[in-house]
This record gives sequence, C-alpha cells and structure tokens, in this order.
Amino acid sequence: METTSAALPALPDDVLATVLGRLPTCTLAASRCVCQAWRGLVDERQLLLPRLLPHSVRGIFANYIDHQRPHFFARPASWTTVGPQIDGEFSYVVAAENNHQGRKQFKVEDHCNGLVLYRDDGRGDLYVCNPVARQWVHLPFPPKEMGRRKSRAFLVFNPATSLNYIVLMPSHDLGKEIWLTNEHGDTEWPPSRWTWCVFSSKTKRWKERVFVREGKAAGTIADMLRVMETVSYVTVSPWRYAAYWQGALYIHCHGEYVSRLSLTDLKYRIIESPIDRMEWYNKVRSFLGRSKEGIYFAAIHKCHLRVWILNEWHGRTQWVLKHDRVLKPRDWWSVAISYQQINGEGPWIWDDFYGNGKEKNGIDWSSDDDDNSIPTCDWENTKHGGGEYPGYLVVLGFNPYKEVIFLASHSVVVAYHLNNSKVQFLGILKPSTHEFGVYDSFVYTPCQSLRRHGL
Amino acid sequence: MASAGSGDEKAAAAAMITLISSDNEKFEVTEATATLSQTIRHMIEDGCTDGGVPLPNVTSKILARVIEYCKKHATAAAGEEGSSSSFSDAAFLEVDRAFLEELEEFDDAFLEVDRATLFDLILAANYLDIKGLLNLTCQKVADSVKGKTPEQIREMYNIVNDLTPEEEAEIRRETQWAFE
Repeated sequence: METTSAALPALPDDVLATVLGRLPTCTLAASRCVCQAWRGLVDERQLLLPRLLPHSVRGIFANYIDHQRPHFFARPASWTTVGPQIDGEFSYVVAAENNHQGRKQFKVEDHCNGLVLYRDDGRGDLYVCNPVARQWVHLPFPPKEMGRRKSRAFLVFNPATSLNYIVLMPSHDLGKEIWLTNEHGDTEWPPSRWTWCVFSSKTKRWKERVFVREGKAAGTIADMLRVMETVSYVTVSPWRYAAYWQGALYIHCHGEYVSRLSLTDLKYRIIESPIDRMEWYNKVRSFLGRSKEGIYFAAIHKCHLRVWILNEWHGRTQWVLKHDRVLKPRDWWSVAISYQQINGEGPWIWDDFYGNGKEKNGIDWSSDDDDNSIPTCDWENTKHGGGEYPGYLVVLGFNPYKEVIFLASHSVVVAYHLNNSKVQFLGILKPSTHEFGVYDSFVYTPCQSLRRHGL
Repeated sequence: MASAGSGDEKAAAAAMITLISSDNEKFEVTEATATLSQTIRHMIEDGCTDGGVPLPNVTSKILARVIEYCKKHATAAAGEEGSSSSFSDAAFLEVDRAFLEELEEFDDAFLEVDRATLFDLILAANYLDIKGLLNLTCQKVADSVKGKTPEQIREMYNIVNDLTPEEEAEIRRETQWAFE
C-alpha cells in the first residue's frame, strides 16, 4: 500500500460513500459541487434525497367558507427554532391576473411532503408553492381538449426519490359534466380506462395518461350521482382528500370508495371503503389520510370515531379496525377553558394574529414535539359521564408520522392519540374575523427548500 | 477459545494466527484479535490460515497499527460479553464505563496520524472488513470536510474540478440553501 496517496478520490466508491454519508446535510449537498465523481456518487446512491424528506408537522392549512384566502394554524415559534413564519394567506404569490371577473377565492387544493398546491378558485389557476421558502410557480392550464380547467387537482411529490413533482387532474369530473347529462346512468364508474391530465415539473407540460382498471368498478354513474346529490356543499368538503403512499395515490371518492392510482405502472384499482353507502346516507362522515403505518380511514358519526388502517399484500387489500370509541368533546372545553385562563388563547394559534398586530408574549416554543409541553386529558377519567354530547366532530387531518388525528369540535381543536386515547388541546379553530369556519384542511410538513424547476 | 480443560499446547497454539504483511513481516495475534476482521474470520472458518495469512495489500507499518486497534477493541468486546452476564451491580457498571471512556481516549489518540496514514488505515480497514475501524476513520475524514465549501474541499484533498461552469451553476441552483 502506497503511503503517498492522500487524495479522497483514491478511495473506493463504497468507502467514499461512507464518508459522504457521514456529512451534515448542508455539506453533503454542497459536496455535489466538488467534482463529477462526487456528484455521481451522491446521486446514484441517493445519499441526499432521503434527508430532504419532511419529518415533522409544522401546522395546519385551512380553507374558509367566508374568507377568500386560507390561513395557517400552528404553534408559534421563532425563526431560529423552526425557520421562517409560514404565510397562511400566501401573500407572496403574485396571482396571474387579479382583475378577472368572478369570485375571488383562493384556497389550498392539496399538500404533499412539503409542497402545497394553491388555487385561484375563480379562474382555476394552480400554483405549486413551498411555504417555508416562500417560493412558487404558476402552472399553465392543461390544453382545452384534455379537460376542464377547474377539475379538482392532486399533487404528488416524493423528495426521497425525485425532486420533481406531478399534478393530476381527472379529464372528466363525475360531479360536473356528467351530473346534468344523466343519460349514461348504467355506464360503470370509474371507466375501465380512466383518463387523467398529468403535469410534470420535469417537462413543464400536461400530458394525458390513461389508468387501466384492475378489478371491479365502484358502481354505475347513476349510483354515484345518487350519492353526490346528498352532498351538501356547506357541511361536507366539496371534494375529498387524497394521500400519496409508496408510489400510489389514494383518492377518497364520493360514493364511499377509494381509487388507488399506481403511478409507476398506470393501473388503478377500486378499494371499497370500510363504511358503506347506507352509513353515508345516515350521516356518517369519512376521511382518508396518511399516518405512521400508511393509509388511514376515519369515520365519524357525531362523536363516534372509528379508524382503520389499510393492509395491502400482493394486490389484495383489507381495512383493519384500529380504533373504535365514542369521544366526549364536551370535556375538551374544560381543558380548553382552563388552558385559556392560564395562558390565553391556546398552544396553537392562527396566523392572522400577526396580521392583526397582536403579539403573544413568550412566543418561542422550541420543539415540534407536542407530546411533552401540551396538557393532556384522559377522557375516561373526566367528570362528565354518559349523557348526550352536543354537536359533532370534524377531522382536520392525520399526523403523517405518529398515530395522531387532529379533530375539531365546536371550534376546539385537539390532537387525539389513537394509541392511548389521550387528548391534547391545541387551540381555537375560529380565527378572529371569520365566523363560518373551515371546509378543508391540510396537515403541513415542511420540506427543505428546493429550487429545481423554479422551486 | 481453546477447548476447556485441555492443557494441550496445540490447542493454545491453534488460537494464535500469523498475519503476514506485504513487506513479509510476520505478526502473531490471538484469534480474538484477528477475528475483528471479517475477512480473516472467514479465512479461519474456511480453515485456510495454516502457515499464516498473507495480506499483500497492507504494509507492516499499517498492519502494526491495525493490530494495535484490534487488540484494544477485542478486549472491549470480551468486556461487553461479560457485562451481559449476571454481573449487573453498580460497581461493575462503573468499571465498565471507565473502560469505555478509556477506549474513547484510545480511539482519539489512535486517530492522531497524518492524512496519508489515515487513508492507508481506511483502505486496510476496508480490505480487512473491520467495521469499527472503518467507521472511526471515515468519521475522521468526514469531520475534516464538515462545513467546508467545495473550493476548500478540493484544495484540501487535491481534487480537480471537472465540472463545467454550467453544471456547477445547475447544482447550485438545485440546492441553493446549501451554499448560503
């Protein structure tokens, strides 16, 4: 062995990869700029991308019925601990055209691994934003022949494998075109070849993609429309949520089924919901999301919460009941009130606090881990037993990393731990100036700033 | 190691392994020391260590250092096995902790070498498949690079920048935060 060689490139690739893998993220990213061999090694072995994956919940984005911009609900924190403030109104996005006619309503359309799909609900313009970096790009509209401008859109971004993102829109929206022309009532839905418009940040173009069905359809168009007729815009989200998990997009659809779109081989499958349409008619409300073990499904009827986990093996699926409890949200009020008496508002607040010039004292929680610093109550040991509980529960989202579901009841927002039924009071849902509440919400997990393709 | 109760000299001799460096120097080590190297462990398992183990990739200077490391850590490994047995009283754990601290000091002192030697140790650890030593030495190199700019890294390790200005600009754009 020569003792004169002191150059890093002389090391075998495996060893060099071990060295690079031990660098802090920032130096590792910068090391791609040293030479060809280093960049090749970092990219080939995917040393960097897994580190860019989000790993904690920063807060919740919410859309309002009576406010034209979304808001951000989070525990306040200083820049030094978690980075810059999140602007829930997306005021840094310069809308494509401000003087257009029609409703001026902006909303968060979807969120995936740190990127947010933000939408001008009047014109239908889509923007992909990285809220933590305040970066954004305006997407072009899909060509007219491909589909409608205002179809609901979904965002898929997985920094563990690629810095590119895609946006998906169905070419035909069941609820809109087919709704009125009910002449194809017996036709099965979704079609065996389901056409979607897919925008890729790599090509910066929309392209038609046909997903081929494996297995049965969800029903007929007539079936679906019957369900949709029961959907009230005000009490139920106008569209339902989707979650990305291991190469597939799971879209929760009206009519109680889940479409599993495999993005790797352009196939799709219908997964029946754990609740059936009768429950839906009986006002059971359902919610799909991603949490620790994969895809989760929650069903709520008044204060009765059930949660299932989707089990998949060799193309077969099964919902496994994880949680089944009647909650007592009235008790949450006592926690909320006692917290407010001592500390003011709540551990989490709305971003419009800042807008209104109100500043809280001592805003500097240093951790995103709420487990230790927020009071919990064990609902089984509280004083209100039995009896009728007012109102209903709303699901705001799942924590993607812990088995925690964010719930709201009469404006009280809590984090509910599925494993031990602990309830943590987070704050009051209603921002100071808005009265009618939230109709969509997205649990936001920030991702390191990426500037490829304009982001 | 040697079969229990046998006072047989042969058995004791069987527990010793001879390692032969590239410059033909011979080193006698115990099997416990030698088997910290997965490469040598496999050779022993395959029964091909009679007449010594030639290591044509490792000089005597480096091999001596590697053996020094292995001896120290073989003792540590034996200590760990002991601690998992019934000895669990505080006094024993105290001894254990002191030993671990000593081991840490040993590692720190062991890494006080010039860069060329460090690289030779890395190559030897890689060739002999000694995980602990490889991790230790790679961490030392990583620590030397940590927080440095690409220019500083190139200068430090005589690396030629073969990226075009366009490629470099592209990389900086992709992960701008890493350069701020």
